Amino acid sequence: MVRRLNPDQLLRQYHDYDNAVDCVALLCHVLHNLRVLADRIEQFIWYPVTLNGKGHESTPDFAVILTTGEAIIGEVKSGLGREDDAFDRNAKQLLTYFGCQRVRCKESRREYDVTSAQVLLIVPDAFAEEAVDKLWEAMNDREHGFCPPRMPAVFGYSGTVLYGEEHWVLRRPAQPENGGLPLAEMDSHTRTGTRRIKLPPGKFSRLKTKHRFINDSDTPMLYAVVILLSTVLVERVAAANEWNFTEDEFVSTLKDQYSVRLKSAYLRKVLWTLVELGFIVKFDGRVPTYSLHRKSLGIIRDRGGGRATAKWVARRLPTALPTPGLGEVAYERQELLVDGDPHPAGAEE
Amino acid sequence: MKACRVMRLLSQFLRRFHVQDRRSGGRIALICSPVSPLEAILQRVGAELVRVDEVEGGTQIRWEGDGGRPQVVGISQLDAADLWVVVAGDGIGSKTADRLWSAGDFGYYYLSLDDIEALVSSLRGRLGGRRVVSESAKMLSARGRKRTDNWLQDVDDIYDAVRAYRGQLESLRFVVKDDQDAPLSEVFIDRYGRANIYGSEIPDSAWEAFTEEIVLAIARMVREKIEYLEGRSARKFGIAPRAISLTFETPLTWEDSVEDCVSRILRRSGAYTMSTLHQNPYFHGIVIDHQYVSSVDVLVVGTNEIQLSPGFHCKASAFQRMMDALEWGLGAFSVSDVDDGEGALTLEEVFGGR
Repeated sequence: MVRRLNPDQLLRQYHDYDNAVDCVALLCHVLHNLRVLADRIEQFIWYPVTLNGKGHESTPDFAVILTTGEAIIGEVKSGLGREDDAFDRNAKQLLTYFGCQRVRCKESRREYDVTSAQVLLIVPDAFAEEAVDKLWEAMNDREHGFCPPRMPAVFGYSGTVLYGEEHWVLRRPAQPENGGLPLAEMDSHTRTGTRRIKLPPGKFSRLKTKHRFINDSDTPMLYAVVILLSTVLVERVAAANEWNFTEDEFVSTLKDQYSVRLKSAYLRKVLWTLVELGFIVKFDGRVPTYSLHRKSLGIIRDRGGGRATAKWVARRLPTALPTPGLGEVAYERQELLVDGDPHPAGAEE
Repeated sequence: MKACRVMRLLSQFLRRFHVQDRRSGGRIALICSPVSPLEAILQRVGAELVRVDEVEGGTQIRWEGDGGRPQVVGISQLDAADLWVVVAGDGIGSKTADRLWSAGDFGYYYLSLDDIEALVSSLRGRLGGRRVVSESAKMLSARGRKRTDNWLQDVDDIYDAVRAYRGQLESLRFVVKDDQDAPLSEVFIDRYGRANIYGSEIPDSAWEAFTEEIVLAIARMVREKIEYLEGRSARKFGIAPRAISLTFETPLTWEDSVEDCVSRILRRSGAYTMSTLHQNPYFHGIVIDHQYVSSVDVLVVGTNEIQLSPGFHCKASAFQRMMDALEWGLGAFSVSDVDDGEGALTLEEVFGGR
């Protein structure tokens, strides 16, 4: 069955992803700059790859290497899932992080040996207590495969107006079961649950605009399209009116010239989506070539998009993409129907 | 000494094209463009009908208008920073002049209320007038209404009135009067760098003062703005762009959602598309400026602070156009760099109250 996505759901995923970028930026800022932690943090890794004993790789959202050799492996989720199998999948993902023995930074290519790992899970504030309960329950359920060496630390994120100014807040639920971080200096402050990390977004916004993406393997297509459109593609057509390229050139330009840290296969999908949306024109041939023209960036304006890029794209995002190399392939346009299940796979980012 | 010569040359140049007709205004415009606006103007006028001559200090374009009236336009380049003074000579109405100025894809800049105030006060000193009285002032208010007033009063009162209204001065026409309250000269200046001096017999000293304190001073201001705003893009992920912060004098109040407000403000100047990334608790939108092929992140991060962070490609013109729109919609602000965020945080700052 083709899963149909409705635009509202796509936009929700898109905003959830943006929240996750904010959370990582906030933590990166705090852990980097908090004076009491200055000689405790070795490195905050924005794009980590963790390797377990068998050499299996996984990509958490961020990782913090401490000077003691311990690591905090971070994951931001918009929920742990309503259905059991969604929860199981997420729990399994967290479990793999505990087995991490080495962490590699995708940017500097440096590797760090890890003596022990603690997992930090960040969820929307309203789900925070629930997440602790669920994880604790699963941990004590012998039949459940979730058997980590220690309880993960769970934090809740929310945005609120404090002192008449917008703040981004991280709160640690006060349940005694909730795991702690191997940062005693900070832990004593968060343990009671009454004191929260709170910072105005202006403080860490530069980290957000610096990276834009997090290390998620499942970046929402809508988010990738919107960000790449307004960064890379704008830069390309500003230099020259037109950019002609092949698929491989697209991927290598994005990766090498613009340091986009998304997977090659995913970037190909982004390209096909941009073609489907009409921003890029494809010319068939033995090696298909593509062309991006300055004028085509304006199609949202010209085709009654009401100037709102994300909404325009969300309404037109194709659910299935043509498979390359097969010539003309029929693909299904996304239908504007609400899926039968109003909350499908709420755990997925 | 060289600057002095340039000034005198420019002064003579402007004078050559000066009109005696007191009714028309806005004939001198400062245009920001890497190439001469000549081509754009020729295109507008029709290249086959004109005569182009090099004259001392610049280029002169002549053609015959309706009814055989001679029409003259002068173009003179100012040193560096891609700035040109364009003058409409005798016989060109202000509407025609406006059309000529907007003929090409030129850079964007504007003068804020503070800029205009500084220009007028320095000119007043040079003209030796005792009183400066406004003849007419057009105001853009924060609510988008336009008011034209013929306040025959001291210009200082005009600034205060505009500020009290949280508006912006769109144009100002004022008279410098001497001790006997007799008018010495009359000057027009507007937000988009158009200016003129009027009078049937303008002394050389007034011409020089006008050239130096208005035309060259605007050029200086524009150059500073361009230098400050240009080259802030990061051009790749993993490098932080050099964002600027706009601090508003009065706390921002939103009648409706921030998104609606920002998009309404941007809609006014057209050629934008925006994508909202975040709405609560703060606003973050990515705006693509199609005219200048640029992108800017707009972050409303506090009750009186908006950050503008350049995308991979962001021209000073795109920054200026957006700042102009924001100032029109939200009132005056001061501009500063967003600090790089490095610096020790204390536990109290992170966890504590205020």
